[in-house]
Amino acid sequence: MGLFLRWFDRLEVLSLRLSQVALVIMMLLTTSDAVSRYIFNQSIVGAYEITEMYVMVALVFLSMSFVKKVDGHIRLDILFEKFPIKVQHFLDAFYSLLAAAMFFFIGLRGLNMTLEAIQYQYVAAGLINLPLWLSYIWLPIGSFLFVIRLLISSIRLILFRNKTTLKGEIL
Amino acid sequence: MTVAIPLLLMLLFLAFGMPIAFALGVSGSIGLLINSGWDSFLGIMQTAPYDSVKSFIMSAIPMFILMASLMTVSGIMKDLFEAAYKWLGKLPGGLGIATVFAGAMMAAVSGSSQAAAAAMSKAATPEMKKYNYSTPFTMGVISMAGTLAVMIPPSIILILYGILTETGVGSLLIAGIIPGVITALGYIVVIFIWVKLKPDIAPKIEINPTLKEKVHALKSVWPVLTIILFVMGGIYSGLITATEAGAVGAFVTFLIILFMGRLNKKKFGVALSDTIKSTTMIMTIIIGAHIFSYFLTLTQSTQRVVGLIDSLDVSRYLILITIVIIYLILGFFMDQIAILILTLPLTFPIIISLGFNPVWFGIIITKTVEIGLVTPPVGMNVYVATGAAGVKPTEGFKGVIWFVIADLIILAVLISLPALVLWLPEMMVK
Amino acid sequence: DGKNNEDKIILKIADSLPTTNYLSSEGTVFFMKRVKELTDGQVEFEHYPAEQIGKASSYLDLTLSKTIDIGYTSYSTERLPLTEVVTLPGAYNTAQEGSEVFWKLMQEYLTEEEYMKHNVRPIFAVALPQYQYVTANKPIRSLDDINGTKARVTGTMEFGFDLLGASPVFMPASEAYTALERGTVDGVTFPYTSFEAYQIETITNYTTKDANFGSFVVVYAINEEIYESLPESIKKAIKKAGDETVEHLSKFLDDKNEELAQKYKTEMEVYELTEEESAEWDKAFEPAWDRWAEDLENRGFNAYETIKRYRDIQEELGYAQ
Ligand code: NA
Ligand code: NA
Repeated sequence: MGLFLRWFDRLEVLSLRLSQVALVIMMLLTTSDAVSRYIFNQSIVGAYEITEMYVMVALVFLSMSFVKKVDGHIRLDILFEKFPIKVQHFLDAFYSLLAAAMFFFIGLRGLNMTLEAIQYQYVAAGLINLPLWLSYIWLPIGSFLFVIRLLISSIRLILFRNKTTLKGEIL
Repeated sequence: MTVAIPLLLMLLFLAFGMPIAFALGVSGSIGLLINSGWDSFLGIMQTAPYDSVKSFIMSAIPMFILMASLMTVSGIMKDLFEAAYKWLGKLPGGLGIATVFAGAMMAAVSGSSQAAAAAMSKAATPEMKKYNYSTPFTMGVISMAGTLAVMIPPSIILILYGILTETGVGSLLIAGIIPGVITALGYIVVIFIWVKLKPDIAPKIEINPTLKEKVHALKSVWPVLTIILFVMGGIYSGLITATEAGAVGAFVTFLIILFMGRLNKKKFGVALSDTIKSTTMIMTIIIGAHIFSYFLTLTQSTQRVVGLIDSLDVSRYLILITIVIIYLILGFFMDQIAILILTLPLTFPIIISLGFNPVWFGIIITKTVEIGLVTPPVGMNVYVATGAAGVKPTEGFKGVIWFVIADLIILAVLISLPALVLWLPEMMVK
Repeated sequence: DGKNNEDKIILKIADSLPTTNYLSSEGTVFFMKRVKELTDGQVEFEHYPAEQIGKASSYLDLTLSKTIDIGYTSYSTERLPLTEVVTLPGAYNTAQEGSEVFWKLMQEYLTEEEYMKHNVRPIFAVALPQYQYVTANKPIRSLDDINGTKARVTGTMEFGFDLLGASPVFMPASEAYTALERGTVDGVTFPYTSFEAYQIETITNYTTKDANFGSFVVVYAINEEIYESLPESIKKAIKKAGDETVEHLSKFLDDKNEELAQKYKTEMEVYELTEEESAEWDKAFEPAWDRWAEDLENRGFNAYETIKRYRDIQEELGYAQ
């Protein structure tokens, strides 16, 4: 279990790094496109589609697990914080299981889309053809990481009753 | 029943502290399973999450948040508020007024209220804390200042309204200027009155900066002004589109703070992680909101409610006001973009058949969106502002009450005086 | 199938079009009305317009998962790429021509070749009037004028503009107004029928007329299993209503296009191509067809066969090329 958790943490950090890279690419690509249009009178071919299809999707899905880890998915806490800690933990575990079930199906459908896109070589056609599997694949990867993170968190809350979120961790 | 159960479940989940994205997504999923079956559920699970995220326009959200995060980690936002403090600090609630001014400035470069609220929160909270402003007041002002971004152009909400109803986007954006300015002035009036009545919430500042100090403080404002001018200049000169402005703004900020020696690897990492945290939180809620909206749409409940209104044989103003009230109520619970997507195809034809002006109605709807952004239980701007500041949302909701009352008064004024809205766009068309 | 005649059948139909759009009011709504009439009210529709249950690109999947029965599949070109043949520059002169030719191609070839492989059956398809190049400050009077301009384009138009040395730019239609006003782009390709929705006519001074820069095709398709489960009489009604919609909408769009052209002549400089010029421009676009086809052939789609059949039908129906 400990080994699994260590490996999972590493995987999650790697996923977050990729999400950060996506963010930087988004900034540079969109800026370069505008500059190129101004100076060379020429758009960067594919910049718009790459941002939309690849960068946005990767940025969001690859970081869902991390955002859960740092308790970043906001909630209405007016009632919640008045409950005894035990009840809070129980509810949190329950919520995480429900969310895990939902994202399991999102990941599963994403995996189907990815495999179909690979099998039939779907592309978004244009001056350059952008493969669609590379757009879909972030859904299954991100969703399944998220599902595992949600399961870990609810198992911890049920078995060990310690809330191990790392608020404000700097990465 | 089949509609009531998931709806009730969503409210219970929200009330009992389930993360909002999950509450919307899970109860929407259950609704889909009950009403439309397994295949439909899987169909929506496939299309909704991907479509919500795969959007170039949405890329404005992470980019404007990154711009703000970079301004914050480098401390230049802090400088701006130091200056604002020196100049406006003597006024009652001076930093609050400075926040509204800065919010209006942000609004002129940002189309997303959440991005603006996050930026304001990161920059203004530490300063207002430092000068012992009360937390609800601080969070209230910041949440409200963020809403200015949806009315003052460019605005994602106005653009979306234009697309959904095929009303001219140009006219809509121009029409937002006067109501936006009125709103900002309204907030300043609220701050004045509130602080007059309860001086504790914004302690008066004791020191008396000399004119020299004041002018000196202005020097530290140049980076912020450069960035804002660059972004605005970029949009108005045609170099960049409103969506691209966020990316260019973030990049210019990156260069300036690098040049000033105010950026290192660690700070950059913090800015990136902060941006990702806010962006993904918002996008996950948008995914959940879409799932829930699709469930509601498929049961035809919203359509029926609107159909019922349409069939009433009463004054057109009564119908208009009823529709506005429904928008305000929906605004309590739902994502604003989801509300527009869900209801406009139904309400817009009614409004047009009653002979109301489509541009004016767009501004009225946008005003209800502004209000919905800060009303509990789902008040995105309050969540973003308090989330970015690490404060409980409850504190934020306490702080917006008087501003919401001001907003309602402004809404009533805009409804009774359409000329206020339509004067500028009509000037444009000549 | 008399047994089912008593039962009401409800079909869910969804699209991304606002109900105020002609494509919705004169297309989708017209179709639904006709089916209702032809079946004496046995078939009723639940209409979900304006992206109420999904973005434009998701209707094929929603139809396949039976979340809806009939979907607007125009934006699923990654899976239905051969459909794009009719949108290529120079494919036809009027919406009526393009729609008639394409609807025949659909029934004789593409339904089996492309749609049935994805378990959906097209029920009507309408090619829009050709998009025109509308510019703010630079008049377009020859192919050379296009060279070096920045143009907001959609779909396969990208090939044509690239070919002529322009810089194709992608942006949402909602940004077109601001982009034109500020000079982010020199012009946009739009059909006349969409100018007003985005106020394009208020900020541009020049437009072409009768140039065939390429266009867009509206396709609605029904889930094949659902279709097969319907009584014969209803299948017939759907078929008839579909044919009528193709004719009605394409004629409506052509008339509207002409009406708007007359209106815009009073507001801006309309450069009207002669027949010879239009044909000459079409010729210049031909390499774009090869580029489109070659790429699809490499991915295993029968693009050349599709082009050949499209041109054959065009000739057969008496539209000289
Ligand atoms: Na704005
Ligand atoms: Na609200």
